[in-house]
Amino acid sequence: MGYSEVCCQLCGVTFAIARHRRADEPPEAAWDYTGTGFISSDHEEELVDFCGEHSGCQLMQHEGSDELEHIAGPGCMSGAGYSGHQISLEEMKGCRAIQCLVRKRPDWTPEPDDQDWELNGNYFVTGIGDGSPDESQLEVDPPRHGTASVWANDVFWDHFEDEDSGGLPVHPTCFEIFKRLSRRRFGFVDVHSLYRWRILDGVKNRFNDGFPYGFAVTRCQQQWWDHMPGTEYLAANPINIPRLRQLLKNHSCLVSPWSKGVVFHFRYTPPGASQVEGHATPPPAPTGASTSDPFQKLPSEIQQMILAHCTTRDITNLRLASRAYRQLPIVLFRRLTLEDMPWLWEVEDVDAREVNWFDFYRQAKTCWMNMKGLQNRRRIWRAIEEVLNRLDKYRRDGVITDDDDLI
Amino acid sequence: MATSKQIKDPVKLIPTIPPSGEFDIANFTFERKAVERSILLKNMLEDLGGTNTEIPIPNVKGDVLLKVMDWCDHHMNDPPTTGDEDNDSRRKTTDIEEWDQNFLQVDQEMLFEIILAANYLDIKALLDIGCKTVANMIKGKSPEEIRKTFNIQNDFTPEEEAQIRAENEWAEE
Repeated sequence: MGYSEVCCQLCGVTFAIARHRRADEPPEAAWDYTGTGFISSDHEEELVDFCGEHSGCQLMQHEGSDELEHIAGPGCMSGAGYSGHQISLEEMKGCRAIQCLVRKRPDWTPEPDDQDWELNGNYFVTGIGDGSPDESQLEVDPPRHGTASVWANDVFWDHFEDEDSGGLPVHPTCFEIFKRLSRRRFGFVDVHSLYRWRILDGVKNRFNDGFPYGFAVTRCQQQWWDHMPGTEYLAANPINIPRLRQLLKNHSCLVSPWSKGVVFHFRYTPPGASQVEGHATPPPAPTGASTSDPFQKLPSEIQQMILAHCTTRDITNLRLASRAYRQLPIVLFRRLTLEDMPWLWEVEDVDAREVNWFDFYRQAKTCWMNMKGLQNRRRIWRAIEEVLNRLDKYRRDGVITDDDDLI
Repeated sequence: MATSKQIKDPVKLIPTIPPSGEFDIANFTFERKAVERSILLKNMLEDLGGTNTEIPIPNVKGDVLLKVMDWCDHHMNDPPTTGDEDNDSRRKTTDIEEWDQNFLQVDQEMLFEIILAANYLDIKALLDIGCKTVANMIKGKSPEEIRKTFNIQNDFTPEEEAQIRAENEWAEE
């Protein structure tokens, strides 16, 4: 069968991520798919073939080795690893981390760090291992519940007696997102259904074949992961995102009268009107009671109650249909932020009173989403939502039940 | 309507704008419990005390008042709302129970009148389903379809429309 890589059963990305360091980075900032070596190249022509003449890539004698290391230049095109010019070491932290969900053995006993779903269910999570198991036993640390090594499987053959011999491999970060979403949707962490589903859809086929992980993931899922330039975000830590917390802390969205080109940003107060009556931009002259527009006949609090049930798209369309919605209350954008970007869970902790939510919404959507970690979080969030859809359907159809017998 | 029904604890509501057609005060006699679905009227009744009370209702047309009281009559035994569930229920726009959906199958003028009356009379649950119904009528429609649905004449100048489109840039991904 040869080499094959196990992928995270939640997000579809390999654990065997590799990296080319920049010339100014230390040797430990580079590693190959095994996590132990470095990406080598035999001669300059090979570099030029891969990366072109002007990539800035170079070959460097690797300390303690006869081989030459492929050092990334700004234009590195290598598919063997992600370039240090495109994604920082900090952003990639944890990209090779793997842990497995494993069925409890009959002699399983609780340990002090067990989580509720472990205590109350039939599964537990192992310690963390590194990288590409290549269908060999994965060593994990700490050895939770006496498990120091585990098979990380994503294929089942036509026998079920061995189903408990392997673990369901996930990125620890993806599993955190799964727990968050499962609690939100089902009220508890439904590892049981996840495990059952994995068996149902993993028989004979690679478990995640056909799952809609998106083009970037399926394109990169080769025998060895293809680290295609432009897909670096797939290896970005989706939970600890450098700079994001600081951005949220900085209150960079506080009302600024200097911002340009904004619509609802600051209040325009016509001469003689109170602040409450003020508008962000001058409102159109009222067309009077004779208007055919029923929204204009409603008091503003009712206009806003209707808005409270509308999506972003509906609101923009409504603004093009009725003059009543030229102005929007800024606080509306907190709800839209939570609804349109549910993966940006830090928003729930932001002090609602201090923020210009319109500006916040726009920054989050157009600027922050370019951060690789957040981009990856959104991708993983959507993939796990689809996982939960499938669990939900299997449960509704009676394919997955609470019964824990083998299928 | 109220005429043939035995009313245990009657309250008369006198609309200052009578309904179209023949006006019969018997039609405007309601069970106190139903009337008390309106926080405004509940407070007034408490202030007035006594029984067989008459309350004049300005601002609500007789036809609309009858319709609103139909709803109050149907829902008079509902458990009182605390207001806490507001946030949770807010997004579940399509959750309108079948009776209420049928109740709000009225012409658009009446729908907006019911919303205004619910607001004036302070009947939160009715106001909420009224707003949800309007939101459902907006959902998924283009600006042109919204205008058509609500009979809104397009009086935006091309410049205004272009400006709004530019302003809507915030929603683009």
